[in-house]
Amino acid sequence: MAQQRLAIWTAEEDLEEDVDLSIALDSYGQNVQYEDSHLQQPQIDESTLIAMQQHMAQQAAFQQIPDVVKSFIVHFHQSVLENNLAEITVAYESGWNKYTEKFYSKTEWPEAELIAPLVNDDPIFLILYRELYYRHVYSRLQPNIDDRFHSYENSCELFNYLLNSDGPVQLELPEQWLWDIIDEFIYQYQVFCTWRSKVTTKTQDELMMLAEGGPVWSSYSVLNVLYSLMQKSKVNEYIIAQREGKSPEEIAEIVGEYGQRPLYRMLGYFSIIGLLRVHVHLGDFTLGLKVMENVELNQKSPFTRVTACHVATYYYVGFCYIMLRRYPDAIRTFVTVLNFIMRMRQYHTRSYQYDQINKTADRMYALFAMCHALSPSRLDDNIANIAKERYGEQYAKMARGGPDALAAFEELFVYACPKFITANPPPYEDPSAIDAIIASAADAESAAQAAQQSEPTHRHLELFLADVAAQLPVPTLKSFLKLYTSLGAKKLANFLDADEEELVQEMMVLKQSSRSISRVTGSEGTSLLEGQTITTSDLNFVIDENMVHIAESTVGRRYAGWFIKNTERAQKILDDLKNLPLPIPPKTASTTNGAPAPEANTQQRPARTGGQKTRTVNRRRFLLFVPFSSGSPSLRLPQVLLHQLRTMASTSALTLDDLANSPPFTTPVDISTHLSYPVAEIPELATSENADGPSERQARPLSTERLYIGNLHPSVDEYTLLQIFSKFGKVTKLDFLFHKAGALKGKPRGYAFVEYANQDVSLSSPFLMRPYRYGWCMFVMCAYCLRWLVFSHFVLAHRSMNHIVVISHGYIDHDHTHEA
Amino acid sequence: MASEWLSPPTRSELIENLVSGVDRYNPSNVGILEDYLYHQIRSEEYDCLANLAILKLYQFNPDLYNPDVVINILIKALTASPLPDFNLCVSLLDDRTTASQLDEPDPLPTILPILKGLHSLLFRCRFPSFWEVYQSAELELLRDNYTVEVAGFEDAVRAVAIRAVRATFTRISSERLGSYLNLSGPALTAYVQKLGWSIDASTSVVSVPPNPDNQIEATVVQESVKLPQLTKVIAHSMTKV
Repeated sequence: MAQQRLAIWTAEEDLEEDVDLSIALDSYGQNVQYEDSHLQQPQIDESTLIAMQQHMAQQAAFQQIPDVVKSFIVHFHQSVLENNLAEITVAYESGWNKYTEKFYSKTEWPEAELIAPLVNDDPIFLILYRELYYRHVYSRLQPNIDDRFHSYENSCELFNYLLNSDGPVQLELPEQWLWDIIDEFIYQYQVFCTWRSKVTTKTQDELMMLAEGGPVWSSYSVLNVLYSLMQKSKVNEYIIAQREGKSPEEIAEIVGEYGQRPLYRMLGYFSIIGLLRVHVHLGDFTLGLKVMENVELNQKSPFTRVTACHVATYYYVGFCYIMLRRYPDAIRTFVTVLNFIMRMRQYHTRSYQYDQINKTADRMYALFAMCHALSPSRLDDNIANIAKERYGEQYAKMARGGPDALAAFEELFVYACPKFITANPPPYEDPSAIDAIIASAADAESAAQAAQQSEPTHRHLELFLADVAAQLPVPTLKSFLKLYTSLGAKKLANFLDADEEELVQEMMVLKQSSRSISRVTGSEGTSLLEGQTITTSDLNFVIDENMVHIAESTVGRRYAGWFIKNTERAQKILDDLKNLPLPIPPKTASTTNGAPAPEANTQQRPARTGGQKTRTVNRRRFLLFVPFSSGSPSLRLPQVLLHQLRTMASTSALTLDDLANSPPFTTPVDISTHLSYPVAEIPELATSENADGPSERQARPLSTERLYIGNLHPSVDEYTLLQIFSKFGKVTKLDFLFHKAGALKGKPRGYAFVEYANQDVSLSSPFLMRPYRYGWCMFVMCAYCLRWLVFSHFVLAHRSMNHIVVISHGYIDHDHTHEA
Repeated sequence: MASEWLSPPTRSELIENLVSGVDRYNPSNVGILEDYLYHQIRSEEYDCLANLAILKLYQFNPDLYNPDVVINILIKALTASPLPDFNLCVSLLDDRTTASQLDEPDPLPTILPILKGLHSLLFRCRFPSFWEVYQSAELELLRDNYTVEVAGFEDAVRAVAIRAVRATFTRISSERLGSYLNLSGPALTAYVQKLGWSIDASTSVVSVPPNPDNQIEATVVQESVKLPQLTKVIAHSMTKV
């Protein structure tokens, strides 16, 4: 169907060209008639003059293009011709944005026709160029109606080329770009629909064009493109075959010549996500989830390779779940992706879509806060805390229920919901109907008009608020029930000043709201719409005639996962250390190293004898996060490691054999002995270092220029920080971040970035040896690759803090090349 | 539960293909789906996704729009409470600027608020009020023109009430149950017996059989560590350094 429609459209395009030509001919013809008696010469002159003028104007415009941009375009074109993915990616992700910032932040890029000579009129590259051109117009400038129509035409041209060429095209594009093509296509469709539905603001010309617009940006044409891409690439068949574990040959057989090419496969894949988005815009939440039937929502799915796509997918899926009243599923969806965004934060600060991702994340926190208020869960305290921090005021109102709650729900919903659109245009083809609409809008004044304009969003909001309103008394009821194990309905009704029958009915609502359909574990590989009824509340009750019986389930605190995770992490650090290429100790070091060796040292080195090859962990100190929660039953494993690390800290050098041979602990060590790490030892350590050989303590070059300083105590201010870090080199930039909104507005965020002028920054200053803030640790790491570089010394004396502990001063070697 | 909602056992293969395939967008299939809707109405079946497919076609093709079909779909969705079906259907009803192609005035704008009100009452478990409103004189239009055609509509509403009662009560007075079901006397007794619930003859209290939702138990969920969780840690200690 899409092909057909596209074909019709191309026919129209031809037609338009014909029209243009005939107009040109007509005017020429008229000239001929009019100037019949004259010589032919001047006519030719006139037309050539016009052509010349046009040509010169173009020439002038072409001259205007900066040379770097010209060479960028030429280079870009070359990369596309060669299908050189790496070069295309660079040009696309950094080059384009760089020159946009530099030359075109407020104006359009040069028209495609203008740069055509640079690329030998390569039609494919010009289509791709226009794709970027219009995207720039949409994102930075105000698109006019011509832009809107032409960007549609260009998208069709692109998809037509991809879908209707003879066989699959030999083009390769980075995945990021492919996603952006689909994403932008839907975005422009959504923007167009929103713009189109506002009848009253249109000029006469625009009304004319819209009346004749036909299929431009129609819902059917957009769906056709997406479905055609899916079908051409056989992406659903591909996903199923992969899940069934078919061999590559079998899969190749199944997906056919198109599906084998990554370009088509990824376009098909992204089209599924695109469909999800389109359906959500149109308010069809079931269908949105239904098209996602075959897509696995997990961190291994192909869509995770493009972060923007990953985030968008979860956002729309989560929103669908909200509208299906499946709040636990929505919460799980948001938590997964918000955790992901948090972990990836350091990486996508570099991405040109960083802002977009952050905005979506912020919306998801709002949606999460709404779900959390409707169906409290303890899935992830961390995310819940951030959501409460950002939307504390609204969250408090929503969780309390009562009359204030609705306003808070409305505020967050309007902020966080996707842009809803109306599938069909106002009747532009019927001028009288349009006039009637304009007239009625003029009568009803701007207030009614505004309401009409936000119509689709308003409709969905109303439905959602109706659901919420039904649940408003639930929190109050719950808080009463929590106080009792059994209670007469009459008494409860008296408490609440309500009618007994009303109350009993309200109790049924409470019961209803504590049940939800949710995907259960082990349902991987089934549709996102699947699920079973689960209990979402820990408060359970039942009514026996007029007596309410209440039972509360308590969930014991979970420790195991946490300790296992951290034990594994500690083991990994240990393994990494062992595998590091160790420096060869100085000649004398192997025998006389550490002349003032502490006694722990001598005690623990029986293994270093004979011809055994000595591997020395030479001054390679490292840190370990050992969280502790007082009273937790099983601190043994971390304790053992703690002790080993502490031993290392107190020796100037020790071998790995020491670690391996250290005696196992038979009695648990009182954690407090570790926590109050004696301050007095530190200067001592420092001197023993120095005595060891000052030559070894030379400045360690720090191979990055931007450092992340984290976990700052709230009392640390910019000035203090600058003082500290100026000791190691000239600080060129200090980004000290503050909360911009929420309850903590104006307070420091607790982290900062420092940049040095000189890359060889010495971090060996004894300053770092001194405990800086008691009970607080300051981290320093490379902001680009997330490697720990150095950490300040600190002492742990604070029991209320449930993370961070230990160990010594030092650093971990850092090398950017690992990160390629 | 959800899988039955996704594809009811009564759905034929033809409809399944329409609902799951691209053909759902083809306007010429609207007749098949509408016939299926009327089949649901006559034989007390319900298929939400197929009905949503009709609304989708109406959304994209305003000229197909048939208000009677829409109202019937909404009435069917009404009795799916507390599932969100009713809202999902309403979500797909785009604002209509003109109804010029219709011969008669569009009944939907008057009926939709009524249905929304009824839905709200059902969703908020206000069953006695529901019956009161439903049987009021203002709703005669709805009763005479629409719900009378929907086979078993009142029983479907009762089923909604029964779902709520079953989850919330262990015993309930027959008077209260009667007000929820709009039944009394022998009719109520017969209904309760059909459900397999028992009525105490002397006190006329109905006992609701135990089910997962009306049995409560205070539990403490303790963590239990499974061996597979520890495999990595244990395996690591086995590797020779």
